[in-house]
Amino acid sequence: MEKENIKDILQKAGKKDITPQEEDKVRLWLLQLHQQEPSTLSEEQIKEAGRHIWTRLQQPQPTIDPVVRRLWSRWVAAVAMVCCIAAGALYYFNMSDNTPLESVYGGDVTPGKTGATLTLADGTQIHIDDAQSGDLAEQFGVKISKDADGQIIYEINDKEAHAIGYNTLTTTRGEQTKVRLPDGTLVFLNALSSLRYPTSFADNTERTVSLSGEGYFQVTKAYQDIAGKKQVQTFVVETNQQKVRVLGTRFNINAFNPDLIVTTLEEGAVLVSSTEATQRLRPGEQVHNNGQQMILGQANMDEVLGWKDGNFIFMGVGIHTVMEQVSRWYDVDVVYNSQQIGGLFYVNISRDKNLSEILSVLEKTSGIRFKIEGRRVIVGT
Amino acid sequence: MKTPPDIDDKELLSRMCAGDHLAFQEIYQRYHELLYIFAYRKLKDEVEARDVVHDVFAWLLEKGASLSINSTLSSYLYKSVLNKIFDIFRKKDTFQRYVDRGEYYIDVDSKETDYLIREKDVRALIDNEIAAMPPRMREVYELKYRQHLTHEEIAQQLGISPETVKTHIKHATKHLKDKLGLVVFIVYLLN
Repeated sequence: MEKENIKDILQKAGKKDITPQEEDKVRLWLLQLHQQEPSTLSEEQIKEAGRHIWTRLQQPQPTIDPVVRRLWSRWVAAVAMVCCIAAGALYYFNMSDNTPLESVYGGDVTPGKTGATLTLADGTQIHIDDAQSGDLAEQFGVKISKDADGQIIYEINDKEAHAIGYNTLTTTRGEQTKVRLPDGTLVFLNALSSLRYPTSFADNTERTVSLSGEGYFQVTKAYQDIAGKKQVQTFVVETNQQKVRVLGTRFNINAFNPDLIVTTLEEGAVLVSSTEATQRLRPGEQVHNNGQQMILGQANMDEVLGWKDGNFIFMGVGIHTVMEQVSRWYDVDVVYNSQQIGGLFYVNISRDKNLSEILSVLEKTSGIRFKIEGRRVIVGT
Repeated sequence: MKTPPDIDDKELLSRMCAGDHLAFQEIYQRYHELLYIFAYRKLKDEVEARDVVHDVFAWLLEKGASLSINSTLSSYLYKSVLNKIFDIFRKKDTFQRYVDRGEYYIDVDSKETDYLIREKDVRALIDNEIAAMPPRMREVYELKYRQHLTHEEIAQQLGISPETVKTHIKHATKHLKDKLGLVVFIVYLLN
């Protein structure tokens, strides 16, 4: 390949007095500049820039026709200048809260803990937590024990085998629980969630429970005698707009956003169905159901199941997703100080930590700053 | 009616000129990453690169209906970005810095002094930008971009009929949806 020395042209290029032919040479030089160098940009940097540009494109562009601009007289410009100053002052005073946020962690917030409220078929409510005496709960058919890991687990006893009625187990913000249903199925219930289940599964051909929020299920296989034949009793989880049917398996359902339910299968096989579609999942797969369609894909198991093992695991999610989970676990409200807080988080941290520890990890991995004010977290840049 | 992701650049451009905002959005989807990487390599500055890409798309958005573009969409976009970079270099007299460092040679393909005229050259640029993407992003993008060649173009390249190409693409797309469904969906949600 032939090389051409365009030193003189480049030196002139800054001053604009070059011919169109010379300009083309400069363009060619620009085109070849660093062209073979590897780009050092990360995927996140590229995507972040993309989001930033798109956001800006959505805002109305100030357009001034050059002809009109020429007609502007001095006084119009002067008036405009006064307006600008006024607007600037207004902007300054309105936005004075928006000055760079200093992280303040006064009055730290402790993490959520094991606990839930059980609402019995007759309306009686019992709040069960670590401190609760085992006997009291047991009167209502709930046995509190520790599992192999030393974690508290509630077992629902199937004492009155044929009683009809539904119990509801509810967690508030900052509560999480583990429950073993009468058939041996283990359910982990995340914060701000609820599970409605029958006091007995014995008489039904299917074992049906309803979930709101998020739950992880380890379903045991159950059989039933029907006309002398042993038949598998399907376990069904109903959420707002879908049903998950299973035989025996482990899976997670996140229905915090009722318009986008995410079902993830760890082991076994499940059938996810809505009025619109049905999708069979294989282990490791995840389906997003937005009410109209089901979108199948591979799941990041650690990220999906982190909560049940007591961790926050984020593998590339935005600040809003992170703060939604934080808000539910620490029972705090989140206020955003700026509309343009971008960036993806890659974090793995225990949910046992105080809020300030979580926030400082998030700060270290981003340009975001947090301020704790009572039960409110202010997020800014 | 075809949805934007299935449309080729040419039709996309004419739809955008007719005021179809979805078409504009699709053009943005297709090219912003490529152009950003391209601009960043020249400018070595994230903010400047961002501004350049913004300005080009803002221009497109504003002038959409009145634009008459003689070249292909991709060539037009690359040229616009290049001109913006030219302006920045001029303003900051970056040229002099390179002259001082002795970087003032151009490779001249004896016949082709004009730049970015041939579709082949633009394709080479695009391939270059794709190659510079982080691996996972590259994989997704390659598949995405392949879908946007016109069926005629692919047919010519492969020496088969456009109909055969269409069938191939249908299969490939289905396969792609099965394989990458979630990734594409999430990319769609994020954007």
